[in-house]
Amino acid sequence: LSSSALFGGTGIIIFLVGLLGTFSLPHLLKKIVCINVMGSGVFLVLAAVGNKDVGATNDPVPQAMILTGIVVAMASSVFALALARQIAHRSGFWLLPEDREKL
Amino acid sequence: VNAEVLLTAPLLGAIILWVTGSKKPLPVWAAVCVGTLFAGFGLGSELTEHGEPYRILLGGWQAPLGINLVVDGLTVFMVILTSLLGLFVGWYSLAFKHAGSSLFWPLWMGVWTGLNGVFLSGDLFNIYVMLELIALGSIALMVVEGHLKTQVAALRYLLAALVGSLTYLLGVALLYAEYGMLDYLSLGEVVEPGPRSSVAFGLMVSGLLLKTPLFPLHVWLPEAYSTPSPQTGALLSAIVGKASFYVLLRIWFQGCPAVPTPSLGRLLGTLGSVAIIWGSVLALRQRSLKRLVAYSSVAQLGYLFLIFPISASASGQPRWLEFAYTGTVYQLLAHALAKASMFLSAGIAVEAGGTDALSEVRGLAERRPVTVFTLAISGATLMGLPPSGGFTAKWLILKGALGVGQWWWALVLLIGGLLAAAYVFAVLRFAFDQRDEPEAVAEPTRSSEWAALSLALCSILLGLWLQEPMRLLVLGGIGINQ
Repeated sequence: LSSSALFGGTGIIIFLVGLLGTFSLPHLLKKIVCINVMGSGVFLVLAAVGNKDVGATNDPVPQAMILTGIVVAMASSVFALALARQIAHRSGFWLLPEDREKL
Repeated sequence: VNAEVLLTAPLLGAIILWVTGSKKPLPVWAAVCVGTLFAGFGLGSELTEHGEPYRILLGGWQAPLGINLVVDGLTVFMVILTSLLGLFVGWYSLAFKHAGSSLFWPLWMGVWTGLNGVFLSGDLFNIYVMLELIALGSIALMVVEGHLKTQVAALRYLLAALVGSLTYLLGVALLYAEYGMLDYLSLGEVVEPGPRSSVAFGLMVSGLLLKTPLFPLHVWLPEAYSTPSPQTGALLSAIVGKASFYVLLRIWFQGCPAVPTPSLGRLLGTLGSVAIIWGSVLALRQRSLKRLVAYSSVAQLGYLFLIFPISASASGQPRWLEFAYTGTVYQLLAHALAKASMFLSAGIAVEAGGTDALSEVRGLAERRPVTVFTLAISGATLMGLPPSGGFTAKWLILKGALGVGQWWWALVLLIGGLLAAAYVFAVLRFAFDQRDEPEAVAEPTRSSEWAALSLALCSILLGLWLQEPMRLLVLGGIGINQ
């Protein structure tokens, strides 16, 4: 098993864990964290893609993609957190209305 | 120069309006509209001269390090559509009494930049960044009004959009792992069918379907489109979701043309048909005007997906794919114009009637005849009555479907048209009802009514003006030159 395949496979598993959590965990903070977990999974896959054999030069394009992706992920997380905090402050729950009904 | 203007004009506009606090948005808005419209038509005439799609290398850098812009018929139509929406929705915003937050202007210009970026970019990762810019900008547009209900809808939409774009990005990463490139036109020449490219393709497609959205992924849509201000609802339903569908067309027919299987095409066609019927039935059952218009979007988006099963059977008969393709683009354009007009009219009706309840539309025909006329002609496009753009679109899709022997889509088109007629007449029936005691209500400005009417008229003009657009569309268009 090459290290690229190992990291790539791990990245996909992390992505799937995050995806599962986003849909199954009702707490808004947990949802936002899970989306970040998904993002980390994608970045790990990208890092594995850029990783070449020892001695060879690594591919710079995936690294540029990860850096850009981190900036995008940070901006969207901050925005989502601000929205979630407003909702929690005004409604009293860190939950979407449909999840609140289930409780 | 034209492509550069399309990308920089709205961006500059956003920065200027944000820095100056958009106290006087009129001059900047006018300059950006004029600039992008000229550039859009300029791009079209350049393309006609060229005779085939062409690339623009930004800064002279070749792929993979540089980012390519790609110009073809579809690009030209999408950027002109965006400019028209910018023009008329902006006009409405200036004329509407409750113009809402001044943040509308810089945020919309930011979304506009992202839209033109998606339509011009030839690079799958660049498209991801632009899609995120559009999503964040348009969700910020939703919440500037500050109502709790809208904030909840916005967060639900944001979560769906983020999951969708990360799923798309994972697909892009896997495709890059296999082929080492991001430029979709170059990818189209090398991508071969196989388990790995199927997984990558499947991830990209599902991410985009969640963002467009296609039934049954539409659960976030009705609240997201019906709770914000009418301008924002108009822009979201007209163009924001369409950007994801545009990317879907690009990767399906140009990025990975060898990957999609006929059964996947049939699946999307079936889901699209369910969306048409289920969305229309739900629209009929709404008691609020804006929610009715929002559910009608679920239905009208369904028509866009009929191209996929038709294209699967059209190999060797490019004529039928050409019909389906031009029909789909026409549906996209006609729906964008008509639905934006409907959301703006709904905003006027709500302001004049005081509430969003469908029954409060009563007597509107007497008080606001222009708005009711606007609702009627944009409704005609949704129903697919001649000579509207919606009629041309559905006729072309129908011809494509019958050409490849898939007559059952014709049935869906027919039922969809009838149901659309039912929900449009449900609104008009109330509008022509007499109202017993006319209350003191707010008076929306005439000018805002004309802005909505202009959009509806554009959707009719689209059906009358066919030859030139058709020629431009099939110029190296999707799937035609395969």
